[in-house]
Amino acid sequence: MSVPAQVLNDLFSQKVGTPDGQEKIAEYAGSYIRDRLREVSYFRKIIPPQQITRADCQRSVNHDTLVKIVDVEPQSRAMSLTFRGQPTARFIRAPRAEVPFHTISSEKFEKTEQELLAYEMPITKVIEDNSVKDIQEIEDREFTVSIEACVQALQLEANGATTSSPNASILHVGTIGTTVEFSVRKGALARAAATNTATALPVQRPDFVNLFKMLDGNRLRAEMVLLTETDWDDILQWTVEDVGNRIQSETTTDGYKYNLLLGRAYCRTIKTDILRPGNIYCFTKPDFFGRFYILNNTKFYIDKIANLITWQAWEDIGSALINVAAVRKLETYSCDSSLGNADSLVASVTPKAEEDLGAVNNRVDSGITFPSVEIF
Amino acid sequence: MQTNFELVTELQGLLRRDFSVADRTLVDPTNANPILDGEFLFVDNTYKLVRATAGTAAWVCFMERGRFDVQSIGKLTVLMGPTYEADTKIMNPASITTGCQLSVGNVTYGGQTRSGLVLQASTALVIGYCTRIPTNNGGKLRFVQTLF
Repeated sequence: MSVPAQVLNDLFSQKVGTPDGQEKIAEYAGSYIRDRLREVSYFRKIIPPQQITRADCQRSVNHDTLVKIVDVEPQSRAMSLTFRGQPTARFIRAPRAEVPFHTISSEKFEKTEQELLAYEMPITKVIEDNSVKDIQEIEDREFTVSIEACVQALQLEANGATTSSPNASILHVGTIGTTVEFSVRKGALARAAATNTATALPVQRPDFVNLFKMLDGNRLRAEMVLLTETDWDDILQWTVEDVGNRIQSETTTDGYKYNLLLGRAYCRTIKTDILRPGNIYCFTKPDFFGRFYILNNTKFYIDKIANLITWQAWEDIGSALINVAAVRKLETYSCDSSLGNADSLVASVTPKAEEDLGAVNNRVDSGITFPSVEIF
Repeated sequence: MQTNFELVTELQGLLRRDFSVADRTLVDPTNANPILDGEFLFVDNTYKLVRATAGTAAWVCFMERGRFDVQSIGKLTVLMGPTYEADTKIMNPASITTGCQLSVGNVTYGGQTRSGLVLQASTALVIGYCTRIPTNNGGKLRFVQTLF
């Protein structure tokens, strides 16, 4: 039996004020306009989270927060010997790394019970559902900031600890320059660009191959590619030379429907304000990369004081990218994305600030709807 | 566990806001001069926390040095108000009397210059008032924050 959303809001207001506690009310189909798609976390697809408890964590004597200490495999090697020789010795020592924990929370939502009556959609349920995805967006943002830090750290190390500025001006076709592309590589079209801009250019098939080689050439294997939907759409422009006759005709009608691309799994995202177009990353398997732990799953809190209803959601997670060499990056734009910020365009190619995420698409508050009428 | 700042009134009614720090090295506990609990901070032009300039508006840092969550995300929690009473060690007790006005200033604590509470200078913004002088309070200045 379906119940009008207005009744739902009335019931919600009544229920939330009862001593039996604030229970969640079952979802009913809402007749409201959505503003944007919300997507689950891509971080969770690249490093699946593991549930842990307080017992798995380490405390500190100086404060009340937690870390989990993770072991990293020790170095070892073999050698050839004569019948009479002895091997060299190694007193084993394996490194360890900390995975710190923090909270990701929704906003604290507030509304008076009287004003809830003005909504025909189940607004509290809508916000509750959206909050889970909003929290995962922040997970993705932090992950994206971290993987960018990983590739830039290796890039800095490879270039002799001076700030590297691999933009098109330096990496122009035929002019290698002194910059070593160790963990960040420009795409073919970006290398040929006449100016250094933040415009994402179409990704070419050789770009992916060169991206994979940055991992495959370091005793690792590229297993997963992360890219935006807009970059993914460039694959639909690949020609018969790139994909062959059969795929070309298939993609013309059905799009690309395979689970692998050039032998690697891929993860596409619509969150172009977090993973900006033109940034394509490849990763190894999670065991070679890092850890993602969930200390407390998403919790939902709701309270009513007098006529004011307050609700909030949060989770406690910990993550660390322990092997920074397990990620590489392809850039299809021509400007510099490193800390040197040679072209002053880093802000255009890196994740937006938390408070700027999820920009509103509709213009209803500005009165822009068509046709537009006034209630008179 | 060394505590430089302790609330005397309850936390429940206070606004605890997180801001990113402008210089992330200052939340590294091994930094030569890391930000401590009890120091006063304010946002810069990029809306990120820096040590407050003497005599200006500021909020107290409510995070102990070296916290893993702080190091992980590069954010600190400040108390924005409303009024609270607290004890702090990051202060200069010179000329402070019960009931006197306090403002933010540079103090030497732990051999380093930090942003703490001092007797209000002439045109400095008043952050709060002293309610218990350090000699009567185990070396800690007790104050009521009134700026919010």
